[in-house]
Amino acid sequence: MNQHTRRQFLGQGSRLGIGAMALESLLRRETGAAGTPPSGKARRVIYLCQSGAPSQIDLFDYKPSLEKRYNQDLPDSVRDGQRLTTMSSGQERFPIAPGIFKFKRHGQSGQTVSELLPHIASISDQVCYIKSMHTEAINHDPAITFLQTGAEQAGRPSFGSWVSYGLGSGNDDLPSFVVLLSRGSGRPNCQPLYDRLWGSGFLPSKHQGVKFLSSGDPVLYLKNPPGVSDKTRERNLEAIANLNHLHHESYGDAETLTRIAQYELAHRMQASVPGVADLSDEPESTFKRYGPRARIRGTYAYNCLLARRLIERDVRFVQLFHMGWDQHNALPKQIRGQCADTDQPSAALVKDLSERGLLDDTLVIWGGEFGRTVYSQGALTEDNYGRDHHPRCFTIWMAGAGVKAGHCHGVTDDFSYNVVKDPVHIHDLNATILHLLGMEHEKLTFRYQGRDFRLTDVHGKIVKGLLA
Amino acid sequence: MKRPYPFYSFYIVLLTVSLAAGEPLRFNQDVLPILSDYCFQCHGPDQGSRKADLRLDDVAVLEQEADSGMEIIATGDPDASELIYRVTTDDSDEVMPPPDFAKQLDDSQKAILARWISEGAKWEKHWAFEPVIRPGIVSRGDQDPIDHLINRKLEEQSIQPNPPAPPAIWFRRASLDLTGLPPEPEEVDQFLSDLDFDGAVERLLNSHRYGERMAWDWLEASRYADTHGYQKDNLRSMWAWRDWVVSAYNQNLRFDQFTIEQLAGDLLPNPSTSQLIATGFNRNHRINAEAGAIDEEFRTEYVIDRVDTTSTVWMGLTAGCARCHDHKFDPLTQREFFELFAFFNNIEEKGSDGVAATSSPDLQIKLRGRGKLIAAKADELRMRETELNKAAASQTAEFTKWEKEQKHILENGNHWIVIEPEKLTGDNSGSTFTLLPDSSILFGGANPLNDTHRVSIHSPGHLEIQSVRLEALSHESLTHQSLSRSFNGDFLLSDMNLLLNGNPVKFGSATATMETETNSVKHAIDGQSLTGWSVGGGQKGPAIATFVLTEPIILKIDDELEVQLAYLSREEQYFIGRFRISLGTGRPDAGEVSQSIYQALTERDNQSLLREFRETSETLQDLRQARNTARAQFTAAEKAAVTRVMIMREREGEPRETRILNRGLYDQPGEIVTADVPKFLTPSLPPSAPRNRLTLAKWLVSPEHPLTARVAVNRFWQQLFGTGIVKTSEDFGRQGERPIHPQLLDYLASEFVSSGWDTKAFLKRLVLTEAYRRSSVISRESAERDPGNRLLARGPRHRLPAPAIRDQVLLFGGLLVEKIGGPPVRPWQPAGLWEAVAGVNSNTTKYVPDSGEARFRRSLYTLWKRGVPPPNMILFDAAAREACTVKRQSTNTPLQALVTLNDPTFSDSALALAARETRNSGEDSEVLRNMWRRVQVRDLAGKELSILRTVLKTQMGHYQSNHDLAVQRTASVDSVPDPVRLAAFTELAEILLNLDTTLTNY
Repeated sequence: MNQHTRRQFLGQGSRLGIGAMALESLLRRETGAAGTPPSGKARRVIYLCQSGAPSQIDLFDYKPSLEKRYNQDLPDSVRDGQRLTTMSSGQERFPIAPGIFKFKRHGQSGQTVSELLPHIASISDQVCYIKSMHTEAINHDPAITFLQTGAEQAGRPSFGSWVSYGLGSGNDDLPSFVVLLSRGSGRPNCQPLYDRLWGSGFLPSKHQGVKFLSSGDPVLYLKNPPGVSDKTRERNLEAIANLNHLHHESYGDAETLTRIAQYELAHRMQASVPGVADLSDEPESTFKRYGPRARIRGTYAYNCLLARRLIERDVRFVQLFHMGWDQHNALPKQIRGQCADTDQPSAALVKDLSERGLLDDTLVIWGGEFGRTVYSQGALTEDNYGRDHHPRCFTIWMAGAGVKAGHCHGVTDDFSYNVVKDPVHIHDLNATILHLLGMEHEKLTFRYQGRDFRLTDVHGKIVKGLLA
Repeated sequence: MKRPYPFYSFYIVLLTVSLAAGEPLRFNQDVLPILSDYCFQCHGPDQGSRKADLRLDDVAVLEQEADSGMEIIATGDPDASELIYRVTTDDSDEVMPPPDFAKQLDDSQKAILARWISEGAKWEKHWAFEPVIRPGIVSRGDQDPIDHLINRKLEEQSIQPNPPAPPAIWFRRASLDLTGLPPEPEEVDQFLSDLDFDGAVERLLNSHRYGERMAWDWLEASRYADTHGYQKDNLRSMWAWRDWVVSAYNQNLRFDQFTIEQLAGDLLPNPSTSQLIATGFNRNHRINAEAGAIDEEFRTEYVIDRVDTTSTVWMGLTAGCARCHDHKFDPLTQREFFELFAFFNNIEEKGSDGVAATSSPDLQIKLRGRGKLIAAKADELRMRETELNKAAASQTAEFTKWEKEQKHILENGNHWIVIEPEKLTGDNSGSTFTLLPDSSILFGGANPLNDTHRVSIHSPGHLEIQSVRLEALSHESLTHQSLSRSFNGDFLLSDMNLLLNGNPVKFGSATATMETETNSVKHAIDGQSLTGWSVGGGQKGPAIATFVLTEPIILKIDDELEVQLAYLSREEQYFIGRFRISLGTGRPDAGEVSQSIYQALTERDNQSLLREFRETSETLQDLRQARNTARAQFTAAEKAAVTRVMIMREREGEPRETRILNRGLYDQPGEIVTADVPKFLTPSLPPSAPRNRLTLAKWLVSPEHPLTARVAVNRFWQQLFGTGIVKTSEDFGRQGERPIHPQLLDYLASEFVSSGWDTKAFLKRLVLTEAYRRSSVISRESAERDPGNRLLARGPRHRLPAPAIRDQVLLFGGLLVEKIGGPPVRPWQPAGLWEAVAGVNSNTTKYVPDSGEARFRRSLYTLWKRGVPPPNMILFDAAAREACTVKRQSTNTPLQALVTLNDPTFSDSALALAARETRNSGEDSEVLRNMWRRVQVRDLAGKELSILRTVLKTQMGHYQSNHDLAVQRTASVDSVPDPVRLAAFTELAEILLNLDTTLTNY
């Protein structure tokens, strides 16, 4: 369907015989629990979650002095009793594996970025690198659950759900929280994901993330059954609405009116979603920018482009997950593949948003659930090594609305093992992101089981140093 | 000493405006919620975060003075109370809560505190922790006291209750609430002809559908699922427990017994299998199989989960809050949390588990009604074996020829030597290797991602070695008795290396009796660690690989040989679980003699020789194949006749020590504690009773327990009326909502206990009350005065729960298959959902829908994968089954509309409904009426009929002029005589299935 007819279709859709009052109340752009329209610098978020935990040492946290320490044992004073996963806790020694990738300074701000990420390096002046991230869990499941929900245990609302709950929807005919998944080419047996990472926990389920799928209908159950034309469906919806009105007249339940309006909204989603996912109106230059894989549904590059299109339509929170960053062995080979998947599209997204003026009020976040060890897991050779999970330090970067651009926050020790300056806990990062969205993390609460739950639990400090 | 109180008089003024002067304030109802919400954070039960040594949750505060010298609470005199000064002062250093506290008191709340003090500061204990008091009730004729209590409250408020709902509507309401399905037209006819309400409810409660309906909520409470959860999320086998629940409800097992069996069935004297299965309740938590997980970390999580779940389900307590510190709002200390923990801390379980379908402790159960099939298959197998044996014995000429060949090979020196290793190691520590009597090696202990296994031997003599044989063998400790401990029993051997006195020796070729297309055995000698030899999942072997050296090697006595099995691919934990290594002397291409033939020949064991002949002779191929098929069928029948289920079972010997865990962390153990119940709850445990789960369970269901019966009846109330008498059915603590009708709740609790915890009788009574039978019409006045219908002037009205929404459309279409119990089924779901999030190393990476009747079972039986729950359930607010859930939301979203309009389960049901009704009657208007009545359970009214007629006419016209669309619309039904008419009626069915009245129980 081209742009023109789609508009016509939408026009017709809203003329269905649906109660004007209900429609109006529903379609008013909601304000969320925060009670006011977004007042922060950021109005929308794109979270580029790199699932599996990218190696900070090989990508961002440049430690030139490690080269001299090749294959030396990691001093016990550095490890300092840090618990290890059972994958490497039995190793006889912990040989230091300096990264084999070259680093250079980039941009006027002189950020150090690895040669693996030339495109991200090129936007360094727009980026705020946080090299002093730290977290608690040492296994993927609890750690990524923590990153996404602020708790290691399952059952809490995800970040996107909190934001949807707090700020409401930003648009009329798309979900407020969209999730896009892709698999890495670096490590084929990726760490899996699970629906709870975008679930709404105890928040109302309308705040749960809606997956845009990489095969079949872009949104579940979007397409009419075979043989059902749009016209046929519209007639049915009209009859449903009329019969529901009759019921409402005699029973008086406002919920009936809400249902009428939700059917209307569903119908409009059926028209608008395929339009968002249809890239045929993108010029050739788009694919130059995001790379040729942006044409292939289900790739990270495609998802970055889709994220921009969703943000243009005021979707509140777009969450990408890219799998495959778990480099226990053969790190050099695997990480090249992961970077090839993500480097160009991530940078393209930031540039694209910037050129469209969207970066002023859109926050982009790039990062995984923890970091990786400086010592090699398994055999260390001149050109091959692996790295185990490391929660004590890792790097996340942000760009866009309200974030200090061309900035590097926090410092780790010479081994990229411990944070020595300006530590940022996940709770602190989350508090800061909510602040950028105009919400106080201590006040964005939901009562469940007698407790006012927060994304940041009872922790979190706004990190002023990250703010523009 | 008095302090200035500039605002106090203002509050008094405000107070008289905002509160009716009449009744004095109630501490529990009016004051405690304010203190709990605004003060307990720093002045509550949690010792660790208490400030200024002040606690406002304890009556002792009435006797306490502040540092200023003022009384904290001066009974009868707000002016003299430090509390009032602190909440009203504008001195930012002194005001409470402090200015930076997230929640601030408003004026009316401050006024309530002041008024409470001026009225004498009467203190009450938290209602839910006090004993149930059965209210004295003046009975009015044959009115149920339940209605008496409800109506009295309505009278007090001058609210006129609604008249009864039409009988058919009540019948639909009760059917949906009690069985999860609406009544069918014949049942409605029967009921309307006699209007026997009592009999109708009896029929509903005696239907097997009742147990299935009740089980759904219980499954959500117990976080039941068919996968282990966490990262790998492999399949688990717990459905026998699910079936136990259905059956317990259908047999109306007393709720106290229902409790005891699930919490402690294993500790009953001579427990039955059924009582053991019941204990699966506490094994439904998630289990983590993630590589690298620390055992004790996750074992601790499971025990905590049991405490949380048990506390929520039976006591409405949010015990989990006391895991890390004393509870902030309720008087549960961290020590008491770990005293509860101790009850559940003594089973032989592992924290890092969850690869196989069940984890220890578990139980194998024989399923009923499978004996005949097994016997038939056994007969068949015996017959085929006899045939084969006879044929083998009669082939004397062949046998002699074969024996000669074998001898010939042996005489040529071509045979294997099974080696007995002297040293076995893995490069990663923690792995164990056990040498079994047949010289095979069993791999156990730690299960790292990758490793190299090394087998060292000394040469047994002067030998020329040409080849090495590696046999992968099954063992019961391996996944599904397969060849490996990996999730699916497959392995991937990256490289097979041989070292002679430390020097590598090269292999030139390799063959195997089993290999996959992509991972043939030749990849195990290609020197590349990412490729290797696999046999595919689920194989039981033996899988035999033969590696031939490029040049033979001559071994001298005491030469050292090392065989290395390197597993360095990207497949995780893909190790051969049990293996045996043999050295080949001579040239394998000249034939081979197995060890057993070798022995049989040298020892002249004719029996064994004949067996080897029977199993290898080409002339016996067909008979052998027939025997193998029969054997496979027999094994499959036997396998299908048993299932496993996880249960609770105490460890042998001394109970495991329980320590308070500092901040709730497994690696920060503190003081030792013993199992006990919280002090603030009466009764305490009998001193002589053993401190075990059985004692705990009996304590919960003792009639004096203040919580168990209240919490249980409140959930039943919630099931029928949509909202509990305590709205927060998950929290009866101080932060929970007070009961809207305390007397009613206590009356119900005492009735439930005195009836002998009779669930069916209790539910029957509720659905026959006036309150439940009322019409759910909402007048404007009613909507304003009591929008949530808490006072019950109106009948209940709520959206159907997720399973009922799906199940009823299958019923309407005549598609529902009502088979009770059994393994979970996989009905249709959109393609690619599992694949999109899957890791490789799991057995739930790909969803393959079942065919046949499995597609149309009740939703209770749909396979529940925690990582990706069935989308049409989750979209309708079903609990995710990650953690205990006793209260669902009821939302109203556009994605729900897409489900009921477009999900093929729904659209196929619409088609089936239309096909059924058009087949049954001829006249269009009759079809319309019947279809309406089936779905709506009432007659079609004039206005409705005219809307439907109009749309039917239009859709009929549309399909007449678009015949091909009509064919597409009806394609999934066989032999359609009139696709246009059927398609048009399918549209009508779609309309009916999507009406608010279809999706709502009203």
